[in-house]
Amino acid sequence: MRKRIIISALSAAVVTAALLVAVETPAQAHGYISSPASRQAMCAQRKTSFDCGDIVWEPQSVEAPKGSMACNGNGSRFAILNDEGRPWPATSVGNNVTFNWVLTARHRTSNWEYFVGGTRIANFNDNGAQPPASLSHSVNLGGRTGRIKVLARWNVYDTAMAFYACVDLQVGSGGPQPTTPPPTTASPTTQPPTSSPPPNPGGTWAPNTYYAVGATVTYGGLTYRCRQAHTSLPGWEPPNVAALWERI
Amino acid sequence: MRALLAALTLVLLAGCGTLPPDKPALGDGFNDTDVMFAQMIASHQAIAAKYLEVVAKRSSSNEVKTLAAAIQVTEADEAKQVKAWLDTWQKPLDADVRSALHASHGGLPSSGEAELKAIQDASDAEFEKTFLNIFIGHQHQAVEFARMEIAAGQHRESVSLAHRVDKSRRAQIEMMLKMVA
Repeated sequence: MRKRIIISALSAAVVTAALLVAVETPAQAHGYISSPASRQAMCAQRKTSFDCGDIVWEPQSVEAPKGSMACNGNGSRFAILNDEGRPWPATSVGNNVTFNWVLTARHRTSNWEYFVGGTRIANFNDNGAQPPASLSHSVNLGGRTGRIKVLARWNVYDTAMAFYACVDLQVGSGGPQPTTPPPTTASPTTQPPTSSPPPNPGGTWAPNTYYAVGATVTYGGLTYRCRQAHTSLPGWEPPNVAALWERI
Repeated sequence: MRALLAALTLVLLAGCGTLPPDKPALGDGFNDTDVMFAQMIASHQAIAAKYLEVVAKRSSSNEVKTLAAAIQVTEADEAKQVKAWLDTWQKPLDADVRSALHASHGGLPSSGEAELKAIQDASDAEFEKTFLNIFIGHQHQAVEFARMEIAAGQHRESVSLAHRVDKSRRAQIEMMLKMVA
């Protein structure tokens, strides 16, 4: 009994500390549609030809009161998502589309709604349950063809809030097609096949480059040899990741 | 007495004036945020390691496997580093903090067990998609607590690690979103 009280007091202290910290940090958690890529997912992949602003850092945070038909839910942030004047990339799909979600906190859920124009084309009721770890919905577009915009709303069960995601689609008139985007949008930073040799042996380290085991690079005036095959990333500079690079 | 009260009020007001706290000066010392960040990195890595082991065994995509293997070894080093700090600071490798943080913003504690099971149970055809969507979410969480540390941490090396975590996870997310598209 006494131990229990101590643990409760400790938990309360930890929660309080966490709350204090949470106040200072950017919006916490939640979710968005990763594929076919929602507008925020396009921004986070830098597949747009324009600057999306802060949404690139937190595509999961498009949270606003329930009931809006705007891509940012009429929230105070991320108004760029509503801008129909921007050339949003669209993904080619068939009539049946599987929408895949990334969830960073699996809030208890009322329902998931999908709209085209003012029409609700699909609704999935969770009745207050916690969503599964891996979530996708199969939606029939009802024979619509051409370019359309789907608005998805994730209505949280025990708050007044929802998460919003708009997905731009190019719907083919034929049968189901793979939901892969056109290859022309691939950025030049895409890695080559893993079997190819290092593109720049002995050169200066660069991010978004494939390095095979044994490849050598220079960084900050020093030379490093690759210990583990990988595609380099910002934050994985050779002196910072001894597991990937050894100094020679 | 009145003077004492006035002085007390001033002190209290001054105290209030420091809220929200200014970003602490970086140094060799540490604060509660540094401890929480280290605990989160350690527990987050332990969960990721389980997901990544499954990828090494099951994935048929070279691209996904290569990324997963590189994340596995770099995160193992990060975990070793934060465990050494916690040891030096005489703080526990306590994972309850993570649950409390999730509880504080309406989520449920994420032990990673449900996610691990979803990855293990995914069919071959759905394997990469399932792993990538779960792992993108997992790395978004790392970005969130790295940002917490950057905003409020005091230990210079921890804040430096948080900057690298923030950058590398965001780059991984960008890469994984392209893979899952």
